[in-house]
Amino acid sequence: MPLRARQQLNMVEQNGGPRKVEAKVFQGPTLHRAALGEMSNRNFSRHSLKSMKSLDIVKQEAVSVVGLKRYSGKENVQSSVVVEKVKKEVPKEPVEDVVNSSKMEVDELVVAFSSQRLNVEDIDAQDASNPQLVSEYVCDIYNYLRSLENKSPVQYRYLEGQTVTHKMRLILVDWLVQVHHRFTLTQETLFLTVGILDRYLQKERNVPRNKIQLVGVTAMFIASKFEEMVCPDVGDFSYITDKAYTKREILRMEIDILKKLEFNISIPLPLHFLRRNSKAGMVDSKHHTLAKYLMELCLPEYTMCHYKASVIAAAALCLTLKLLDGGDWNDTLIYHSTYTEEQLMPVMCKMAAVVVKSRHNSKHQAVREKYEAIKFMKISKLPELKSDMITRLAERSALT
Amino acid sequence: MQKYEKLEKIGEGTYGTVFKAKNRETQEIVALKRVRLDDDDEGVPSSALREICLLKELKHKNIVRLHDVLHSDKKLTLVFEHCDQDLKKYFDSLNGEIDPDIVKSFMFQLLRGLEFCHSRNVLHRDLKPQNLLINKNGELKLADFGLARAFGIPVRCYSAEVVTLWYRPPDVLFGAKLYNTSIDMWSAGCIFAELANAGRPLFPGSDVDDQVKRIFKLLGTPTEDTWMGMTSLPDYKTFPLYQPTMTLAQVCPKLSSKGRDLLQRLLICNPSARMNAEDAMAHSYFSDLSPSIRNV
Repeated sequence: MPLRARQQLNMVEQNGGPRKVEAKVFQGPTLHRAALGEMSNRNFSRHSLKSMKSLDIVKQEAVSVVGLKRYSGKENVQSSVVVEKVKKEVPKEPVEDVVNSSKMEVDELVVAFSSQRLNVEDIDAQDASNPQLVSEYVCDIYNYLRSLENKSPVQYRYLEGQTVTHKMRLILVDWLVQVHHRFTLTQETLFLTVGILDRYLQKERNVPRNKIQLVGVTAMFIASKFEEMVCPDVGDFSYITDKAYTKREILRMEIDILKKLEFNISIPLPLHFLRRNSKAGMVDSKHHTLAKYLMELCLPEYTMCHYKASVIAAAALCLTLKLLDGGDWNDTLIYHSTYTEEQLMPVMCKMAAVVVKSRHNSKHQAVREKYEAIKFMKISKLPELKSDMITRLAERSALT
Repeated sequence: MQKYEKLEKIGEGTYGTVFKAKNRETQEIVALKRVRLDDDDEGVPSSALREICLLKELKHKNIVRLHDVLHSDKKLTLVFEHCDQDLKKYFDSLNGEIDPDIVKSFMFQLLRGLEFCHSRNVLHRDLKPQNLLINKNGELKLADFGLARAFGIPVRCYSAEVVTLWYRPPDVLFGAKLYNTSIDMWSAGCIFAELANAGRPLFPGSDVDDQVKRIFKLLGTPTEDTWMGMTSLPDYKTFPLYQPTMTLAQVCPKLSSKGRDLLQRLLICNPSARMNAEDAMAHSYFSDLSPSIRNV
């Protein structure tokens, strides 16, 4: 019951008229995104102005579908180029295959990156005395997480043919990032929320536009129950949507999501893999935070949502090392992430394109704004994120 | 509930009533755990949510199998494999005598189930005889994952309100929120002693203080030398420096010396020095374990 959001509310209440200040806390312009407002039918009639914007979205959507088709050709060309390159350097599977598909089994990967062939350090050797690092189980656990992530993939372009568009997904996730931040929930909860959201939208292909926000908050409600010590209650999630959805609707949606996903919500998250990679790379907190930022920037991006968590995590750290010190994706990192730099290159290019986009797109900046805070080491303001390298990498991706 | 015919009430779980039932089609006997869902409530309880999600991924002979989850208007029904009884009830039927081979077999199976959970980043956090189910074939299965959770690495802070008092490790008794797989290993140690004594609990404390006192009286009060960081735990309290007055041989007279050695390694107050499940399974106490149990 005494959850953090409530605590915030209580704090606010002590400071003066609860309604008024609450409005400041929860109903600021950033939280109640106009476009999301329209996705709920209730707000639709209230704000006639916003309905204009909803038309905008439809228009933009029409454009971007064409756009997608256009660069899909380009992308194929590009990936085949990279494939050739990889074939020369590493005798392994084609990049997109390894990165996207679940065909490759964990065991094969482990064999392919056998520590005997590479110069790999035992990164757990010093940890026996630190129980928090569970050194005796760490390898088993990561192998298990890798097999688990192959079981519940998000398909490339899964929204095709649905009423929900990638633009709506972007607006929704951007808003969820803000809700998550206001509720001061753990990082895991945010990544899990988006993981649940994508898997549900992929399965339930007929979600009406006015229900997508309901799916979003309910995904966060479920993720909080799974991850948090103290979970905000259902009333808080109803409140945060400006009461667009009742508690009852959220509870109904909860059951629907759990049933459709067959309760498979222990999804491996990029965060789990990043922590391992950061340890293997012995990086400092600046590196780790930047990699986390890059991973989080990818959350609202539809073009990134089909990548496996382990791929996003490895690409984020590899790109971080390149940006901050031209660092090397060494054998230890290859071994523990199970990806070579060449394999990660296409994903890093797309990630760079996401960074470039975040500089230009004035709306939907929740992740960037959040990482401007001291708590996040003002990482989104790093000059390296505006470097030529980012621009060059981004140019190589199909996104720009 | 068309598919199952309810037979009798078995008990109360962390969050719902458990019934014995029969599948009308296959005649299979199952255990049904019912979770009520009220509109003015918080939906699926997080304990039920975690139990379902975690058990779906934990398929192992020493972990109770979740067959299915049914949803009807106002309730969720979890369909579990049925076991004849729990270890607590089994103890009650013993009259103070237990075959040492059964102790060994049950302990091994408990460790094997735990090892499986731990290597899949799941902490049980509520091991006790009531949550260990046994069936006629002498199989033991971990059940009631209502307090279980998946952990990340490094393990971050979790609730300190876990594990039934008698089976709670000293670090958690002192309010530790950063704990790991060792939390379950302490409980396993307590259950091992209880098995060896045919159901007499090792540390039946009446409250947290009494619980700590009982532990320290048997094992000796730890110091910063033997357990670095103990004095900085959130609820740390100073206790008299008890010296062990009884040996484990006196506490568990029927346990072999190898068994006592294993017990000693599980009942270590310092969580980082406590033995893990994998090593415990390899302990020489189990060297003469019947192959039929080892290779089940």
